[in-house]
Amino acid sequence: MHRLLEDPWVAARIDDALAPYAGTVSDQEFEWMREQLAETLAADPAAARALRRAAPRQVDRSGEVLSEGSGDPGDQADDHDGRATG
Amino acid sequence: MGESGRQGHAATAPPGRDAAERDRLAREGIALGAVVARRLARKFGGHVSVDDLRSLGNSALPEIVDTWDPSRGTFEAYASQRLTWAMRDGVRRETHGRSAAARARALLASDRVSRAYAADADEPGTTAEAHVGALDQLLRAHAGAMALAFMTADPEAEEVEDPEQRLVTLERRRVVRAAIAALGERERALIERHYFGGEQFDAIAADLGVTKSWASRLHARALAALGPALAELRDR
Repeated sequence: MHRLLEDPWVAARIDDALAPYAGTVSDQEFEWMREQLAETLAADPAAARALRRAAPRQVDRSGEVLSEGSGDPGDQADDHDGRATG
Repeated sequence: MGESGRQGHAATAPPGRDAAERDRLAREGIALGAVVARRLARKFGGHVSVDDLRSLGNSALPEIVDTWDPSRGTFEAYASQRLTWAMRDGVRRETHGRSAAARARALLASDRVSRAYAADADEPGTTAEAHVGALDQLLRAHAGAMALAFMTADPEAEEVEDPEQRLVTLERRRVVRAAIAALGERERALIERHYFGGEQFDAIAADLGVTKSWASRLHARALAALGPALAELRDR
C-alpha cells in the first residue's frame, strides 16, 4: 500500500474522489486507481502543493501548531520514491 | 503520431549536435529508460515486463535525442518525460493484454489532467475550506480521468473474449455515456469525441475553436464533474 494511504485524512480524500466509481470499474482497477491517486499526490508538483495546503496541520502535545513542512502529508509526498515534488 | 511524439520541444534537431554528442545522449537515454521502465512496470502491476518497456523506450530514443533543445531544460528531465510517454503510448498501442492497455490509457488521461493543472496559474484560496476544496477537485479530476479510461474500453479493441465480461464492459460504456450527457456542451463534445471516438485532443480543440491548453482545462473540469454526475445517476 502507498504510504500516503496510511494517513487516514489523505485516504479519506482519495476514497471520496473514487466513491462514485465503485462498482463501475473492477475491484482491481479500483484499487489500482486508489494507489495511483496517492502516487499523484506524491509525485505530481501541483497535486503535492494542493495536498500541502489542504492537509490539516499537526498539533503537538503542547497544543502548538507545527510549522508547514514539519511532518504533514505533503512531506511524505516530497520524499516518496526519493523524488522532490516542488 | 503517438502521445510521445506530440509534446514538448520542436520536432527538429538543434543545429550543431555531432555524432559523439548524439552517442553520449543515447547512452544517457538508455540508462534513464531502464529507470523509467522499472517504475512503470511497477505501475502496471506486473502486466508488462521491464524489458518490453525498455524496448519501447529505446525505440523512441533517436527522436528524443534529435528533438532535445538544451535551452528548454536538461536532457534528463526531457528524456524521462518523453520516455514515459513513449512507453505508455507503446503499451496502449500494442495492448499487452487488456489490463495493461487500459492502465496505460488511464495513466495518459491522468497525465493530461496534470498538465492542465501545471499550466494553470497558481491561485491558492485563502481559507482552509478553499484549500480542501481545491484538493478534492484535483483528486476528482484525476479519478475521473482514470475511471473514464477504464469505462470507455472498447471490448472489440481490447479483445475481451469472455461474453460476461463483454456485457459488463458494454454496460459501463452505456452508464458513462449517460453521465457525460449531463456535462456542458463543449465538455461533452470533448469527452465523447476523445474517449469514445478516439479523436486526437488537438484536433478536437481546433474544431471547438479553443486552444489546446484551454481544452485541457475543459477536460479537467469535465472529469471532475463526472463522478458527481455518475453518483446522481445512481441515486435516481
